[in-house]
Amino acid sequence: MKITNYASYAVCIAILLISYGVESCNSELRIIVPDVELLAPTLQGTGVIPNPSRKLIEGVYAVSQGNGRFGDTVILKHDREALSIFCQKNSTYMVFRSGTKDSSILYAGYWRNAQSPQTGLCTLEIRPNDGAGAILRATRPETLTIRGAVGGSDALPSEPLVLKYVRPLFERKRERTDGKFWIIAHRGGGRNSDRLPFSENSTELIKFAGKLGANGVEIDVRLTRDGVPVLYHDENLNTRLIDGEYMVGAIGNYTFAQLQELCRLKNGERIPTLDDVLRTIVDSTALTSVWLDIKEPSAIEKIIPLQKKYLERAQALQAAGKRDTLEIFSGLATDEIYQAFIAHPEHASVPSICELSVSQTQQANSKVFAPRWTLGTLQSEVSRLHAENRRAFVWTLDQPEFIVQFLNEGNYDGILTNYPTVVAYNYYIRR
Amino acid sequence: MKVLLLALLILIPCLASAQEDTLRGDYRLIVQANLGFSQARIERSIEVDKADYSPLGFLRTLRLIWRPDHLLGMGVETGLLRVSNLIVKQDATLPTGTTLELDAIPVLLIFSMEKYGIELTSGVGMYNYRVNATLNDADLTASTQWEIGWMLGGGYAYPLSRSFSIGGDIRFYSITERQVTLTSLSAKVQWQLWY
Repeated sequence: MKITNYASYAVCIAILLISYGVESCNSELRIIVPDVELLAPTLQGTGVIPNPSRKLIEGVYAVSQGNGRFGDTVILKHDREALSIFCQKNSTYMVFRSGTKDSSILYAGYWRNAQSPQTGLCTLEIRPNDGAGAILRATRPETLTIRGAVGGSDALPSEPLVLKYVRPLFERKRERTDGKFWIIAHRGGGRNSDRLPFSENSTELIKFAGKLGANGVEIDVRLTRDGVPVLYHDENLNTRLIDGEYMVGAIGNYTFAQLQELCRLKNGERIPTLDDVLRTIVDSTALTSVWLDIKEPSAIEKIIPLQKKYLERAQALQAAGKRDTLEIFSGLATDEIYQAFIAHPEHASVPSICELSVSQTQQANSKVFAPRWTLGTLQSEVSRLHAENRRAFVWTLDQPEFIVQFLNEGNYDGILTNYPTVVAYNYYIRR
Repeated sequence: MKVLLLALLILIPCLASAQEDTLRGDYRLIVQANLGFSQARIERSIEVDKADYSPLGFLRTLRLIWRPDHLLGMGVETGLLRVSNLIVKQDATLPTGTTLELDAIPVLLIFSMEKYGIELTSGVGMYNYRVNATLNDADLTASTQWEIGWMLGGGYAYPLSRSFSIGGDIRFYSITERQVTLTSLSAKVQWQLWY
């Protein structure tokens, strides 16, 4: 065989390897949630835990059994009727449904490592003698012990887990912000790559964000071709975010009706309108902050009326004692968005978050300055903003070591993150 | 699909070894035109209510291949591949009569080995993936996007003269990230521009 044939053979192999590589470009991430319905019998016939009792369960707990998997300390916090646990080890969190039966408090749910696919089922119980009796009478027990079991994947829980109450959750003492610290979940709770049970920027994920420890959400807003503000991050309709073969190119090329009929988010949800999402947040969540990441200047005209409409609705519910305060901010992330915002006649009275600079924050009368985390703690700038009764949120902090560093060394009022469970653990564990 | 690629890794040396030792010869330039049918398989399809859907369509492609005196030729391929089409039959979210057509225009660098009229071809490159929505012949939406992909094919050409051959091809196209694959059967006309 001549040398040219060897060359031909080599080239063909190279081509096939390239094709093999191209075929491997496809990177589907499986969303992983164990089958919690396996635990349905645990909560059969249970009643609702009263709200004052739920508050008494929240706190910092020592892990006396099961610390190999979850670390020595965990945080317990409720989001309405659901209980979440944020763990020291491996960024693990747990989400439970709850109920009370025969003077016991019962939980059934799952644990998950926030930064890997590891997950499993879990059950917990507070027995009457372990503190449930006092808690259900809305009094703090002298000691509080939670016993349970955990399993791997869909296996029924069998490894013992015992938690002992240590102290209440950390609360920031700062009159200016009413003691609040904002844990803001990126894209409504996290990215698709974080394998959460719902798609990013979906109504379902936003309703779930509180269970991840967030008290605020950041969501991305774009306009459809017929001018409907919808939640979608990327400029183009792509396989990272949606399914639907007829969805090609820019989202702005399609009408809202076409998007509704021809496309689904990665976990099967429909692309939601901003109107529907804000109504859901106001009526069906305990979230206190919404950061609208406006992706195109022309959307501002459509967004501001919705922002005002739902702020008024939230204020009415707050006045009736049906919800906590809610703030909805227009996010000013680029100069184009900023210019379009300040050109709006009502901009000074519209709550906004400015990501650009302190001076632009002041000029736009933004309530919040939000620098990128790589700029550091910006102590003097943040102090200056606090003196002007403004706040500062930092974005997007995901690494646990940096989250701890910013909580300890910074003076920010909130953190935007893809891992609200990690921020929640490291915030509430503080003394 | 990956198994098919690996099988070809084994097949190609067999074909390569069939090459006879010859002196360096003339280069040839080949034009191939194919017309046929394709069947699409779409992993990310979603069901649309009250609509007629078809993953069958026409395939029209054109290739220009440079064949040197050794076994491996290379060239480019383009054309128009119908991926699928959908017609809304009753008013749902979309009005009755809304038609959506999904096409892909391949722009592929191809590598071809031909012996005794049998040809094996592989290609990598981009597909201009395009959707066109119409209602009563009026354009509603036209949108395009470039997608990476590849193709594999095999066929036979029977020479009618020194310049012209006719034959047929079986081809497999993959628009990778979209998880769209097309299997096609087509007739071809081949014209040797110079030799």
